[in-house]
Amino acid sequence: MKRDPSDEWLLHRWLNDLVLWGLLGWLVGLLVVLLLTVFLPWGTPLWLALWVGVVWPGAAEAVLVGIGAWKVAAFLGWMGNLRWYRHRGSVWPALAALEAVRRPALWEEVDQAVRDRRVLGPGHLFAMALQAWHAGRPVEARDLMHLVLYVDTSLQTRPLPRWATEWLVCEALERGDVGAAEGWRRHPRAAWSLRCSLAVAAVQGGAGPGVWGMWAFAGAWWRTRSLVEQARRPRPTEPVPWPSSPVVALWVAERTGAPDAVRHAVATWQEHLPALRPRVAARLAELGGVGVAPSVREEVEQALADLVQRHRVALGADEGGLVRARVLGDLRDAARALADELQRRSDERDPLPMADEVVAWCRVLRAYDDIVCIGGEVQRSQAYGIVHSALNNHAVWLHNRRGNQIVANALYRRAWHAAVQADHPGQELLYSNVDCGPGDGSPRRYF
Amino acid sequence: MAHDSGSATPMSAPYERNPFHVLELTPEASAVEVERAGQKLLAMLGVGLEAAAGYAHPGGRAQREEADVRWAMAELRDPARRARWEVWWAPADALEGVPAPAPGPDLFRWLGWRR
Repeated sequence: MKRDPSDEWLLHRWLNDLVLWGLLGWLVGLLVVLLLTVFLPWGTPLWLALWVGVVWPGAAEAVLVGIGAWKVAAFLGWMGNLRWYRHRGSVWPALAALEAVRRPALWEEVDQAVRDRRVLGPGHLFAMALQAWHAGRPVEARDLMHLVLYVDTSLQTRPLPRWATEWLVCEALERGDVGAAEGWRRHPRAAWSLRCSLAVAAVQGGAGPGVWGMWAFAGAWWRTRSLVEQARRPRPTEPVPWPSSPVVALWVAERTGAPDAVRHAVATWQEHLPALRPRVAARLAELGGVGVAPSVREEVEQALADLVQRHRVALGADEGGLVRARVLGDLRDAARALADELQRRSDERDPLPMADEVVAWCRVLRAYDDIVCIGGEVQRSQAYGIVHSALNNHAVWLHNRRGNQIVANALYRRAWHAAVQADHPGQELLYSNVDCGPGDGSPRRYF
Repeated sequence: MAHDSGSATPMSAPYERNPFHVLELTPEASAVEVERAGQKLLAMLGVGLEAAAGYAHPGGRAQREEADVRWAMAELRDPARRARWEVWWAPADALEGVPAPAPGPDLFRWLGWRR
């Protein structure tokens, strides 16, 4: 995989975030303190307030994170980064959405403000994700939070990837998918924090005393203390006994939602399906019925396909049989329909509000993800081929004609990562689009 | 449970609602037993007896109305449809040993997110 133009080298990150700003703050602070202490009687406290609060807010940020006021801390951190000033408009929707999570009466205003925007920034994506979460659309929220991670790092959106990663980890853990939560640790764009590790440990249980060290550096100690207690409790080891009755297996899978339970239900029905039709026909004759026995087999396969799709359970080629084929067929049809619709709107220049454009784009990529999630890695290349053109062309339209370079750049990057994983030839084109950069945040049309 | 009494599959999955559960019978029940159970439940619901207002199924308990009982009787009178429902039947207490998923820690709240 080529180097992402927005990936920061470690040394650059360190110099930029720590040394350079620290040095600059120190020099400016030195100058200011000299002037103030010479000319004003109360110059030293004023200088300290300026130095800590404005020139180098990293110190204030560290204190605020320590006491749990992390949103204020992030705001201060943002204020201290001069490069963010070019995109100041973008942080407000993120902060407004965070406030609206606390005070839901604000949602209408935040939602309207985002929908009215013709050019979206990183903060708008974050606000849209929180809004979708609040409105009970977790899948859409997950897609949008994921997209926040792909915003170009040159925009210095530092708090947003951190918040988005924490949100994605918590969301995966709440679904009971520890594997997905752990997957974010290895994600190249995620900003994994100690809080994420603490959350994973709390769900898994059985953590050693080292978790106290993790807690000490995670901040907001009075809140995260409960996570340490959860992490220290013994890990549950009792296996759930699987039922032999296929109908009960369906119920168990529905109740627990556990991937193993869903696979067990599918496997149990696979054993019973061949004998189902003769059994129903024999029973019908016994009951005195005439005519054709009802096609329960079709109904069973549909119920299993719905179950597998609802819980997004990966089925191996040897364990799913007809159910797997049916699910994958349905998912491919859905992906084609969504991609065709997106392509049609790009071709016919049929615009939606920008917020809806992003959601529609994410839905197409989600359709591809669903195929890979259920069908496994072998489906990746073929599934990506279904959606590639629509994803790329739509992002190009948003970039060139609708002046949304920041969002389009994130979309290109997201699609590029998917294309590289799928080893699709479209990755070269996407890389060159990513390489165009996110612009300077001002709307611009190229033709 | 409000539903369209004429529909054979009023809910999303066919195993979620079964006429045998509505009438509190098993697939071994004869046609006479089906009629008797249905009439008894209709009479009980007619006078508003609390005992007839709900029934157990593997997923928990559901409300029972007169329309449910009539729908269940109609389904089990037809041999073809009855044979289908027998496939989807499981004892109401089938999940007794299966633990419901325990609510996990409220991670969002502990990490500073509110809903």
